[in-house]
Amino acid sequence: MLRMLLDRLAFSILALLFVGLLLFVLTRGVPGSPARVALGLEATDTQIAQFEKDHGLDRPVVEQYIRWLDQLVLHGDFGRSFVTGRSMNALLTETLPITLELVLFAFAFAVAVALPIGVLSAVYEGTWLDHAARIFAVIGVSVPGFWLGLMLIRFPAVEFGWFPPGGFVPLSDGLLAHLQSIALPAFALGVYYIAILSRMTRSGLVETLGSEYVRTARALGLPRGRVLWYALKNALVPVVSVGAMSFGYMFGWALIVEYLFNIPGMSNALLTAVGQRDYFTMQAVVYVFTIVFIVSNLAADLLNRQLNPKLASAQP
Amino acid sequence: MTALLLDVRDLRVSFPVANGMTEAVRGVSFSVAPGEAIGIVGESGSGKSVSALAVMRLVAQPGRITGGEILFEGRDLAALDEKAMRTVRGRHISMVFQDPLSSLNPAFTIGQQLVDTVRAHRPAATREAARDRAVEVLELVGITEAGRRLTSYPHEFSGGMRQRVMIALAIACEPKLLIADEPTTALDVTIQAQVVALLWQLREKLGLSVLFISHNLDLVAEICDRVYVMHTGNVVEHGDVEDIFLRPQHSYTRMLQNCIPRIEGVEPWSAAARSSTGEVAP
Amino acid sequence: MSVAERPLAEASRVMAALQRIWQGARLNWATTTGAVIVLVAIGAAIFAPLIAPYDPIEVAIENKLLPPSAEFWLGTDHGGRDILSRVIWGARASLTVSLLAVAIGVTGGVLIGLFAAYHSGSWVEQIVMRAIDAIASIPLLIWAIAIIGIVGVDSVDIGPFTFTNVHKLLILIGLLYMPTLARITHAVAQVEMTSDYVKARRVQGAGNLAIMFGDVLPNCLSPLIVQATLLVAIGIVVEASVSFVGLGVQPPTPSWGSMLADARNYVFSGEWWMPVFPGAAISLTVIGFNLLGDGLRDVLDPRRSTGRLLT
Repeated sequence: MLRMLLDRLAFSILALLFVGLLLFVLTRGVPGSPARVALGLEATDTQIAQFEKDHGLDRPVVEQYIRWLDQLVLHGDFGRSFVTGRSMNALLTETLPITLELVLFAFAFAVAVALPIGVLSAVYEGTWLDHAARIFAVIGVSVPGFWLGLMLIRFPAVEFGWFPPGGFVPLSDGLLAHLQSIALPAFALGVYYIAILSRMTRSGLVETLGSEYVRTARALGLPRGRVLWYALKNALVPVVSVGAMSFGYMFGWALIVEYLFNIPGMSNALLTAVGQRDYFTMQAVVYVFTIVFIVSNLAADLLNRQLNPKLASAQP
Repeated sequence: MTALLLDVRDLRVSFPVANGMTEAVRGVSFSVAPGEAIGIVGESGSGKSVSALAVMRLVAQPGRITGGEILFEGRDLAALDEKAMRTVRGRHISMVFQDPLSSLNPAFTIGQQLVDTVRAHRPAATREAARDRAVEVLELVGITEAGRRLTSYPHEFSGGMRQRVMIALAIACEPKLLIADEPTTALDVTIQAQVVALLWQLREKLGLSVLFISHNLDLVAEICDRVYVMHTGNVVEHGDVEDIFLRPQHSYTRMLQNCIPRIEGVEPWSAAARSSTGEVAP
Repeated sequence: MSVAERPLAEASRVMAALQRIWQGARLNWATTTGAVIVLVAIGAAIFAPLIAPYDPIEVAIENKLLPPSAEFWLGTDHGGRDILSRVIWGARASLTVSLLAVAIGVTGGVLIGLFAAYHSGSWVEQIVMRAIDAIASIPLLIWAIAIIGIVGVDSVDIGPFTFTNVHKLLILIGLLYMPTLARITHAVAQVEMTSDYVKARRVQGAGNLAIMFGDVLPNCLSPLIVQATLLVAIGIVVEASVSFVGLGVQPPTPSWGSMLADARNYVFSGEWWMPVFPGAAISLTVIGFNLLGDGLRDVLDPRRSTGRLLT
């Protein structure tokens, strides 16, 4: 088990390095020097050369990469943007918590709604409840989150005025206002995952409720709640790992939702950087997104192995 | 004449098919007296397992009991509601299934499963009392170091041990009747003998009545007093083990018998002479 | 049978097959609905020039922001353009990107997966599959946006070919689809390689390529087809999202995503028809592919029950 854990961890680290290198090459491979972007079109060649020398941009790419890596891994520093002059760490510190909070809310919301729906659908299999849940799931998985968000802005926000149509109210400005500003985006982001997780829960539970060990539990006269838990504990194993993976995917889709709702999270950082051709900032932000993605995939993999009792004791 | 423990009369179980219902069990009657060991023999599809599940009211949906009475100590189980049935299952009548690997919950330790069973029928029992009973019953089925093994998961046991765990779960609340549905079919030959011996021991020690379901006629003959032979949903023959063996009336019983290879002069049901697959031990 | 009877026998076989399909369709209305939607969407994409009532690009300010009416069934946008026509033409953008991306993904993924399975047990397989795992670590949407952001939305000329932004997008998505498809192919192929009938084929003298493409590949097709359908659905949403932030299909070419971006400016005023119809188009098309994919899974690959979405 430990060996497998280390193997997965080692691979994730390698993947991170590979991705980092890929990103580095992509952002450095763009024709035209960042110096020109920073200094403007009127800058002279001498100014550009000087700029490049000052910022180590004239060194060979490999050396630049190692220096970047060193700075990041050993000092936790993403460096400084050439376009804005701001420290990227500062940018990330500002934006990452917001995106993280949005995703966490959406995730918690999704899980809190999906599990009961899934369980009820399985227990009341074949009833109107089950069919209704199925229809909602079809719609939920097909409707793009940002369109749902747009509709939510149009109706509950603009028409009825229950929620702000966008923008982000930080916690310091009041809990209720903060929650109101995050409610619609979290909802829009989470609906897709409610659909996925509830269906998985349902199908897993239907399967386990029909299993032989649940039959044994019934044969032993165990109370209904206990029998349900006996089935559910097994059924949830794949759901947990898919949930962990979903967290990573959610982080990506949060980009569009943030853009729609004007939430100043990481998406803002990325899209602004794109607009300004601030490639180094783009690199840092994309890298953070990727780190989150890789970590959640790793967590999903490990959770799956850990929770599945047969896999856990089987050697890698 | 002592009252029958279990008296099944004219049991009918049906399953819905494409255009109607099909009867898997067509008016079957059998009985178990206190302390008796009864066998139900038949090939796959004869309805023997379904009959056993019907006694426990565990017939898989969408199948249903469509007729007959299942009198247990005078009470008709077929007429009970689910809540009342839960007090019967595991407590008065217990069941052991064929495949102990798939019949034990892989996500819970056997200690948890045992404790849950005890507390299901004795809600007032403390965790310690339930745990003690768990250890007691594991030792009863011959599992050594029972205390330590409470924290083991089913897949950490061997096949024969798992079946012992199943039996432990079944007898944890001291039932009067134990239904064993092909309990040895999924096990190795040598283990089969051990499990059968265990059932025999428990029968004597605990005064347990046993309803033993199998496709294997001479295995049933080893432990049972009386045998019912089932074929396509009906009981075609029944009687004492000796009668069935020496004087099979029905052609089907004779067919079952003839499937068992035997050596000249050796009685087929002599436990000392043969293992349950029909091979003669030297 | 006689020569005269053959056409009759053939016709009755066809009739029997058609009848079976019809019965199957009636039983499984969800899959049928999905198939119908998909066909409508593809039809709209292909026949857009013929069925769209108006020109989707030509601006006519005098008609701007009109609500749905007999003249403009779905209303007009801020440029006076008929939304119905733009929605129909938008199908072209969405389906081009998603279908071609999947095609690229399948081609690359299958070749890589077969290659890895062919070298099953060796270090070659290890490296290839690890590389695939590394690419799978890349979040699709973020990188699609970032790479187009870096490369720019203008068309790129490489040699005799011109790559528009749409091309860039679909190639990117296709590349990032390869890991999933490669893994599926590799998993199935690996098992198939050890099967008895492959051994029998070798004994028959069949070459490795023949075995790979003739015997192993057909067995991989079922899960691949199912996954491909679902990836098309995802691709539609990805294209819409990328277009929504302005990095996908460039104006004035209609795309459902960019139509939603336009609609964003009018969300406070009452022009509800601007966001509703393009979004509904996306949703319906995605529903269609999802239903179809689920139905195909029931028919082709029923083993994987936990992945099931709709049943």
